[in-house]
Amino acid sequence: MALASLARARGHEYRLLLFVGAVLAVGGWLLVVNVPSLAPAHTIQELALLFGLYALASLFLSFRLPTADQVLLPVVALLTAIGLLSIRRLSTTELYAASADRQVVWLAAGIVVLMATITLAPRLESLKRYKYTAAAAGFLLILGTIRFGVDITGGPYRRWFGFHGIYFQPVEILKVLVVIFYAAYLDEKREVLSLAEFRLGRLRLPPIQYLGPLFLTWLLSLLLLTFQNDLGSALLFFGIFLAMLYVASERRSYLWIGIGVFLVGVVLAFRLFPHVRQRADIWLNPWRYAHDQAYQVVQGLIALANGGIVGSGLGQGHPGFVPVANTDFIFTSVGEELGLGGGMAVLGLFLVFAFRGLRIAALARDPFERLMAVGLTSTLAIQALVIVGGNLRLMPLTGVTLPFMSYGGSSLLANFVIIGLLLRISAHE
Amino acid sequence: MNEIDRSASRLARLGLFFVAAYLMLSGLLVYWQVIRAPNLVNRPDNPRLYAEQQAVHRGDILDRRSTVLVRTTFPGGDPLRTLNDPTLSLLIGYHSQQYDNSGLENAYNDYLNGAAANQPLDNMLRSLLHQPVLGDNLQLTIDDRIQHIADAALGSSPGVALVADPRTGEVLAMVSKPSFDANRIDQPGYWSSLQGENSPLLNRALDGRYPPGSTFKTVTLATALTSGTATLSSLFSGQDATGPLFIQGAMLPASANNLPPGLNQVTLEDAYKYSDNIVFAVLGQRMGARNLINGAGSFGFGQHIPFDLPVATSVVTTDPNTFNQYDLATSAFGQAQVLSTPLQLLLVDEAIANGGTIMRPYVVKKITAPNGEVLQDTQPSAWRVVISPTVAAQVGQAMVTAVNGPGASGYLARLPGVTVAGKTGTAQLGGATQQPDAWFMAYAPAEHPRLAVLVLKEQGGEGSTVAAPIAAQILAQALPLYH
Amino acid sequence: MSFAVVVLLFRILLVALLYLFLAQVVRIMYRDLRIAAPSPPTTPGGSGRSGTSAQLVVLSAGQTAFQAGQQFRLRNPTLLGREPASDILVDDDFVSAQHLKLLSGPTGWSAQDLNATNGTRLNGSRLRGTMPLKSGDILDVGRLKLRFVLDH
Repeated sequence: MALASLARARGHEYRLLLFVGAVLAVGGWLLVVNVPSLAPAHTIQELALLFGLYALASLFLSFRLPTADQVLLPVVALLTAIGLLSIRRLSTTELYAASADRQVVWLAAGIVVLMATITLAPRLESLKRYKYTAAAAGFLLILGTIRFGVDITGGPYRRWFGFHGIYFQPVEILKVLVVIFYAAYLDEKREVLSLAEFRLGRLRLPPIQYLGPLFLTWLLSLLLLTFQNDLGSALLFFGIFLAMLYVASERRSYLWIGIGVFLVGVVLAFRLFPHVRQRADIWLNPWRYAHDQAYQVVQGLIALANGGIVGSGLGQGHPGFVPVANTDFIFTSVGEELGLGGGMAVLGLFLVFAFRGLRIAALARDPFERLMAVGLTSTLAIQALVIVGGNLRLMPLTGVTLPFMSYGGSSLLANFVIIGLLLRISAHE
Repeated sequence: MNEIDRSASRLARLGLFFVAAYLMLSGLLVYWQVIRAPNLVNRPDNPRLYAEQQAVHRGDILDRRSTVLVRTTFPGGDPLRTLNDPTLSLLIGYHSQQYDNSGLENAYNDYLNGAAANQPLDNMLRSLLHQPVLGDNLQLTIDDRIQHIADAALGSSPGVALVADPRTGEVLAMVSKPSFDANRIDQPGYWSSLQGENSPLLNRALDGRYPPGSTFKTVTLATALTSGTATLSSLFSGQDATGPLFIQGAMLPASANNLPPGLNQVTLEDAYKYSDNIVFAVLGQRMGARNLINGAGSFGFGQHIPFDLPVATSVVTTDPNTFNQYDLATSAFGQAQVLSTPLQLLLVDEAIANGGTIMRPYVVKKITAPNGEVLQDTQPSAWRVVISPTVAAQVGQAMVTAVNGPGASGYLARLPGVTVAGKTGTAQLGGATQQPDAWFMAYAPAEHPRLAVLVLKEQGGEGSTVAAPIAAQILAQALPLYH
Repeated sequence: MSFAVVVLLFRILLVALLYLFLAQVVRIMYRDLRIAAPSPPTTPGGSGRSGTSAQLVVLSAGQTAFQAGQQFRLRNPTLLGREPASDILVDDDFVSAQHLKLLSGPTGWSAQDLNATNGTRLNGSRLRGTMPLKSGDILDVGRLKLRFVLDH
């Protein structure tokens, strides 16, 4: 009888996960048929394992957090499924040979982290107390990476911590820490923000308390940009802050000031940093640099074009011709083989994720959790926007990952933490 | 509105922002993946173009009896195109990744490669299914048996042998030596070995231009008859027959008369039979430069010859302004500045054989789509009406005499049971130590000609002794095979 | 030839599955969307006393068969629980036989916990004893989420 009630508990989620299973099955069949060099048994096991992991997670939620949102996990599952299918497909190229297996390991770890976040994380309210700790930890992390980190691409920009061959990007955890800080800060200073004003002559400026985190964000982005050439993360943090500010504050003017500061920052960055100028140039004139710096973007667009509306077919295209095809350009890899239909579906999935996250925010118990939800949702939604935007030339290409789809352990783990927190918030626990 | 509702509306607006942003991305996706797609796909830096080229299943090339001349097979997955008769390497050409295509493989590349979008819907379906595009098949007018006959008869030293049907214009054999083996074109070192001085990559039948020597007398004769300058029975006597001839201070020696000793008077027909250069020099002077050049022009000299491959243009003179009497006189027997491709001379031959009308020469008979649909079925068509049937009959008669008459220069072209018509040619090349080019043009049977033959042996010697027997051998072996 | 067609069909199937997934999700989200605007009250005067008629709007149906946006006109009192005699039958495993009572008094409406095993949450906090209700308050009964709305 308990099983029967269990079956009804998260019915939507189960049904949606069945679709994910079907996608894995059909995708797996296509891979096995179209790419003879893939070991069929290995591929099928891998995909089945992925499905099993999500079934396990869903089961876990049914017991531990039954009232949590039922759409989030399946959306994440589908994104990781499409990502894994693509990564497995790319593993025929020498360069990406090991990535599929590694991704599965990271996915398994991610599910574990998800369950751990739900079980072990303290009452979210208590996170409020640690906001300054979180901020400080974040800064230390970044400074530490700048000082002690490594650059696995061989360049001068140290974004990784290495440990026995496993590499980890701290900026991913930073995202979570920053959201916690902003949410707690904006919640605490809510009264102050709405009432107090700072008058400078005839100008009504927002109070110091608001300027504080704004400045912090600026500093953070600056650090990221200067020492780590991480334009994407710099943009991302600003975006997250603006989103959270908009939802938190009563005053519309704060948002505009925030945007203004952002734009000023962009212009300054453009003037002060030659590599930012260069990226802007490459973005605006890719055809001129089609054989050197803009090679990646151009090849990505060519890949998409070759896919057309129907796509070349999973395993039947040549996504491997695009550089970093399983990380920065995973979207074009999917777009080439699954066509316009597939690409739009992926965009749709991210939009659905955004909606779901905002709904969780709308139904949240208290303003802090609401702000957390907004921040966490924006992190993933904006990140996807930034990387796909770079692929499609909406903006300059940056090195952020496409959440859940790109190959990369640190990104997956941090993102599963985010999902765990969102599920907690949605369950009102 | 309480605080919750206010923040709810802000959340809704944030949601709208995301909708707008993702809609913009969708729009861009459509732009790149659909609207700009054709430009992007065809960029030369798209590596997929080269990867996918392997997937085209190039069409076959067959001879007139559907013997497979060229076919692409896939031993071990990769395409391998094999030319079964290497003697056709020059006509059919090579198909190479490194060196592109030549010959018919080049001229008909769009058909062979399936790119001549005759079935766009079908091809689209095939590309959707990632199935190789099938090229169209060519059927040639070539008869591979006759090709081998001509190749064997010609021997290995540089030269040309052409065989055609004068009634239709179909080319049945085209041999050019030296040649190469198209199958080996991509072998390391082979290409560079073909860059030598004797130009094995040159199709001499179409692109080689030579002084035609006495074979050109056929043109002169036809022109003289047409213009009324002379008749077959016109008499030439004394120095007009035997020489020497003095023109503008230069001398044509008596040795040029080729007459049997003691003869000092000949009819035009006999002068043609003996190949008397003196008579024709006189004839040329009598008809005048304009008649000669125009007469040659109607046979195709100076004109673009329509054919499946480009043909070099033959000329009587390279510079009409400096064409003087001496040139006129010597042009009349195919020297001076006269340059002709072997194909042009074959057409002269065919004109006589076909009652004065040259049929358009062609070698591609039929193009068939993979599904069997016939895309092109070439029909014989008249290219030029050169001379009247009467004049053609007269020249034909002279050509019969030139082989079968007493003392005929073309005596070695005689065949038992068949009346062969023909004309020898021995073209001097100018150097004292160089052998002349040996020519022979012929057709048979003279009464109802069905095969026309043109033979050239570069620096082979006398046309009568070197080229004529080759033509005879070809006719003897080919006539029974072709009707 | 035909195998390639099969592959093509599967390729299309893959993308179709993605859209079927999205369609399912949109359906789920559409039902939830009706939360945003509280439904307007039905004919006034249902309870006979002006200014005190109220209703419950379903925000999230949880395990029950209710639809999001569904409304229950409140009687005085209204019993919520799992037993068939309840005014509003909540068929959820986490709901007790007699779970919650909503009553209207001189000071307005209030909610009374009936010693339910899993209790009720009022605006996120555990409901103990009897607490007053104001329009817009959110009640969690088991996995059923309801909004209390006063008619104006």
